[in-house]
Amino acid sequence: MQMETKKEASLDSDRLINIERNSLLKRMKKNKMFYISIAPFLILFLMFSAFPIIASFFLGFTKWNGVGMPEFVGVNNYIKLFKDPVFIKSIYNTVHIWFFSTIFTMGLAFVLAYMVNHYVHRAKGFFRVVFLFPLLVAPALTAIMISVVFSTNSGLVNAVISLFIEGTFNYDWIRSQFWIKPLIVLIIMWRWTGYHFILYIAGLQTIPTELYDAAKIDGANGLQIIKNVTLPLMVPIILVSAITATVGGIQIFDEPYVLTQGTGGVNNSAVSMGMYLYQTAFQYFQFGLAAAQSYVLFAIILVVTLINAKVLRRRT
Amino acid sequence: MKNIKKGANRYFSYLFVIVVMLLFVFPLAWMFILATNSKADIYTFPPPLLPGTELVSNFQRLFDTIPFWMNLWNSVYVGVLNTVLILFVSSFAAFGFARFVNAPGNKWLFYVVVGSIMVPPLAGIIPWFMEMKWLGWIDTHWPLIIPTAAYPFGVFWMHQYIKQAVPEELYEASILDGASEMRIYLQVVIPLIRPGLGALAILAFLNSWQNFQLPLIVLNSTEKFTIPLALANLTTMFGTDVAGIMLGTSISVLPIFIAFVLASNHFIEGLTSGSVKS
Repeated sequence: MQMETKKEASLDSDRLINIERNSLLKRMKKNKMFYISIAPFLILFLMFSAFPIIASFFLGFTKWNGVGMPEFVGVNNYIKLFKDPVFIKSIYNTVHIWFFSTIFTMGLAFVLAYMVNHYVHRAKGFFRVVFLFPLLVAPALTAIMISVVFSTNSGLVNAVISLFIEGTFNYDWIRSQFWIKPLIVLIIMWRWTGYHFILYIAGLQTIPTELYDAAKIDGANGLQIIKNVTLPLMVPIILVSAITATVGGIQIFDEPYVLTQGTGGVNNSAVSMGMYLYQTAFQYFQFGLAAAQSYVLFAIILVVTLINAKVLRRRT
Repeated sequence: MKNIKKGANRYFSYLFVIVVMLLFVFPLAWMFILATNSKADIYTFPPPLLPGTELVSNFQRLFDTIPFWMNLWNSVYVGVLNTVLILFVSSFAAFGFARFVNAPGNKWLFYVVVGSIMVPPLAGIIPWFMEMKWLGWIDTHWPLIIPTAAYPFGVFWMHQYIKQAVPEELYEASILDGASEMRIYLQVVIPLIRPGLGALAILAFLNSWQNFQLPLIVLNSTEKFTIPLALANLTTMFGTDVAGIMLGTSISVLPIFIAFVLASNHFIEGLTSGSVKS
């Protein structure tokens, strides 16, 4: 008796699975156009994004110069990388440039947006347009321009400093191990402030003026209002802008490459992770090692993005 | 008292914003100025701050040094083809995701699309390069046109746009009228999302126009170079010709600037789109 019910039950579930399978096929057939419409994207995506990223993971455990078969070496690449002082330096440089450029760009953009939103009543649209101009210049070209402004013998910065001292000032900013990183930070600030400015303006405009009025009646001063009213309401937008800055900033390549003409600066003072990856792969042809580097880069972006999200969420 | 303080705040704000703005515009203005001065004048002290008269000879020298028009043309046609592909691939996939909500796999495939927005392209660059080699695409423009046509952010963005611009009833009405799904995509959806496509086009074209790393990796011959690569290369081989380099840079940004001023709202939407809407 019991056996029979069991048998029946399993028969039932078999039937159910069959029905489900049929209906799945039916539903897929009915939605044929769905698969056709996503096919171009999916095929290109699988071939040129998903596959390379997965393959890169496996390649990271091999030694390969691009010819013949990759040779499996386990985690040797990763051990090698973390013993390589240039690689460590490239991580330090990247994080340094990312950190300062993000803080300064977002800070300046916020101050500008706050001022324009609260005190500047004329020509708001004009400022939006002007601050976006740098975003239209390719990062590589921006680096060329900045290298001209700071160049040793014809640069404007040296010329201006020369006005204040005796004789001519011929400082070589690009070859300075200290100044090369602030220069790159400056390039990023110049390029991206307008972008964050526009995000913040859009965010600030959604905060109702009644909230400010209420805070003023409660006796809050300007800074308290910014800290307790404006910033908490801006967290979602600040989060978006911080994550954009992070994903782009950690991958930085064009600016240091062009500024140092591909050398990475004196004593590798401007080598970013992206640049070192490029050198490892396309100058030294160590593709396995470069793939391992690309995964360290990937991991760092992931970690920094998560930290970003966590820190900003906690503040609300 | 309060009014005075508010007034002071306002003046200080205007002053600050204008000073920062001048600092921001200055490098651009100086770039155009240097492009019109002679090679030698740039090295005088103090450097020139006004437009010069050497524009024509700078042009001459620039064209003698690199195949400038060729490089410019490469950038234009790579950018246009890449943009057209992105518009089609993104909007077609987004249409699928928005229209067939009940299709098996719709949900998790869309998660994959959204998730991959955050994945840095550099993570797969080595196998990607090997693929290009294997396809015989090294030193051709295909790597800059085809692979980047799958642009997850574009799909995500067009999806949001379609959801908001095309009401469900419109699909049902079109079906009743006997329209095929393909016709619905082409004749109902596309016209309704035109502004979104315009903003995506601007973003896609700028991405392609400004790309430096991929051209650097895949292109070898000077006449195949796109503009950023050609000009960066010019600085390494011709480092002292600042005037020529600034002229090349000026020519490559001028059309974008003009387009920007003419259609600044579309540009702003294109450049900041995803972040504001998500």
